[in-house]
Amino acid sequence: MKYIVQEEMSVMDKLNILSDAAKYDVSCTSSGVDRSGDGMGMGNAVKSGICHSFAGDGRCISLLKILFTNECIYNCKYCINRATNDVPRVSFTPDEICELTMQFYRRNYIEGLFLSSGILHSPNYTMELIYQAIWKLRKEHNFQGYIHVKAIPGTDESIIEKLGLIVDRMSVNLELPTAEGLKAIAPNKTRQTILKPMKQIQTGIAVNKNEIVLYKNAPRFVPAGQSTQMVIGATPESDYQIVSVAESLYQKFDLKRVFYSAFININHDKDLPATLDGPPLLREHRLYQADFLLRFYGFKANELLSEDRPNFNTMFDPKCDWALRHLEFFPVEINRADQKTLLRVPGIGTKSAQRIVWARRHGSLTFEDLKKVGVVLKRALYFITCNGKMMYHTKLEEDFIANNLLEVKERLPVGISRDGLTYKQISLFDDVNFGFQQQVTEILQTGSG
Amino acid sequence: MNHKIFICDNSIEGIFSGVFEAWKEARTIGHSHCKLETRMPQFASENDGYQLLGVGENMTGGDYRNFELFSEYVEVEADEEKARKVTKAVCDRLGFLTYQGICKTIAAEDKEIIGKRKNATDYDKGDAVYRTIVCGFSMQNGEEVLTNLGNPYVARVFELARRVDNEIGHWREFLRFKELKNGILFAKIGPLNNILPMLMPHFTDRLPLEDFMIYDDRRELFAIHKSMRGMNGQKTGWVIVRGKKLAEDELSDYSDSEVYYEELFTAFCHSITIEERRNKRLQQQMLPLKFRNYMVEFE
Repeated sequence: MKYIVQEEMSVMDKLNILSDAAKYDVSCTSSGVDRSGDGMGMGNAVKSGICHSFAGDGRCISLLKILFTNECIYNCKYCINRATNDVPRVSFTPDEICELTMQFYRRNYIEGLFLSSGILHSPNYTMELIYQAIWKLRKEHNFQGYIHVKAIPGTDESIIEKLGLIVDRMSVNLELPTAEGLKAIAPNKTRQTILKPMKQIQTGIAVNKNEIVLYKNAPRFVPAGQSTQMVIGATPESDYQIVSVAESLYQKFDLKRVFYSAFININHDKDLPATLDGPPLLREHRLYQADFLLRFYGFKANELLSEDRPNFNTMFDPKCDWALRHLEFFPVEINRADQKTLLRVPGIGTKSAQRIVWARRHGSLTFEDLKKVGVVLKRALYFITCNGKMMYHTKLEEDFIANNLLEVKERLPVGISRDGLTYKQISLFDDVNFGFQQQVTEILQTGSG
Repeated sequence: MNHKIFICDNSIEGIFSGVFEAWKEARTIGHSHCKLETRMPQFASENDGYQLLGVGENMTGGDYRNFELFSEYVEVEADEEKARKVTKAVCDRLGFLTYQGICKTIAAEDKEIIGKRKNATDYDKGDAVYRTIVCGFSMQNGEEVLTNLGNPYVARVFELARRVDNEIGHWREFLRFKELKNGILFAKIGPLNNILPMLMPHFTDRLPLEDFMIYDDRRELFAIHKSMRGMNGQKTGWVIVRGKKLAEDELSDYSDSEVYYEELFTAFCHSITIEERRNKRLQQQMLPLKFRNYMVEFE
């Protein structure tokens, strides 16, 4: 194992190694907390988060994402820093971390610090070092920007307690959706050592909320909440299992976000899948769509998937898929339906639903108004009526609508293909009226053009 | 036809003065006979040396707006007292959020996007603001006026305010400071809308102990903030300066460590990319090319 003496390494070399080692951690947002500066230091935080730049893979760069050290005593099979890999091992000093964070922050390159770490000697030893670095940043340099820290499974309660008072977000990686998966791929981490700190953070946040009600200036404990991350595609769980795990995490641990990271085969370990077609990006995208449906649209995991349909439809996003299977709920009358029902219509998002409800109070809405409000009429028109009339005469029939929605083509994020499928829906009826579909498409084009 | 058209300056004071005048007239001839139009940039007063730069080839002279037959044109001078009265009325009746939305609409100057809509020109934002205020005052709860998207003028104000909002968000993300030898942080931006005054509060809150300067190179405006070190948490105002030229030579006089940190950040951006997920088009979609001239990691 190469061991490079720390004094020889420049900050540039350390930054290269330790940011390269941290890049697979996707839970790097700067959102969740609004905080003004106090005029005596540097920094503030914005609740929506700010993405200062975008990397070559399209992901946003909002925090200085680094490992404290890439030394590690664990040997998780998917990780580039696992103990049996031959990579140069290096650590930052607390001063170096503070200098980098402050200088990048004042030039508006970053919103704050994202600090994860490999495990040096033991979880407690490493977390204590991390605590010292962050304490320095907060108290000596008066940094009031965003700090996100990864807690190592197995850390002592007292360290989590004091760390929570000086960071904005703390998270523990779930790594794999099921306990069996974890045992196979990351044997040093157990379900218990991961869930225990998550529970502690959750309880700490709840207790802190009560304290703040009583005393407005009480110190905040993890104000931006908790999040976690799962690797997708390293183990054979179905989409239904993953989404159920995410749902129970949101309900039982009050998480702010669950992140999904498509498995990337770095180690080519014999126990991990080969991923010859590249990382499962479409699957990751569907999981994020389902995640948003759970959080903002009031869906439940068993509405989207089930035991007999355990994986997502590659052709349609989960919301459209649900709508096609439940046409009994449609058409929805825009001027009467309540907000929850409006949210279920494909093409109507949270902002559009809110604006519709507000605009309705001043007068009834027409299809023209809906376009102004931001509704995607090309998808929604099959499912809604305005004052009793549908936009064009369409049948409420699964095959017909499905074919037309396929014509509209879901706007997948750039770079994700439907795995090269050229799937066309087969019909049992020979006299399927393809001509009619062409007609509707033409009408749509003239109507919107 | 048969309108009384008030021509105002392209600024908050100008348009609010226009609203004041139009409201006065409307008491005799009715709101539907009054209209507002914003002045062409070269008609703006030359006294303070304010020039709108780089807005396109049409701005060479001559008024090419469509004149209406049988309508009377009245020039309105920007008057601070009138503007103040209108501001107070708007804040009281329509709420501060609506007032902010209106200010953002007035800051909208993006001719390309505004021009794409049929019959829309730079002139119509004054009228949209005027009619929105009329609509708001006629409602029972004026604070809800911007939700009434059925009214086309309200929808226009909403649309323009949203565009300006998005641009402010973008520049907040992509603005980059460079440290000069005398310790001042300098940043250059090139916004399509006049957003410099709306960017400053965010940065003064974030960097109260720093001297910094933001330069809008499309309008030759400077926003300057002085460090509040030693003032015990007191946060200060900032100023906007116009009429001065940028001293390019003094600009390249960076502090010693500036290049060092720029290189560190550029290296960081490269090493954080996952090669297996490389996606130039997605990166371009999220980070349009027009911002990259102002960002250090793309130099």
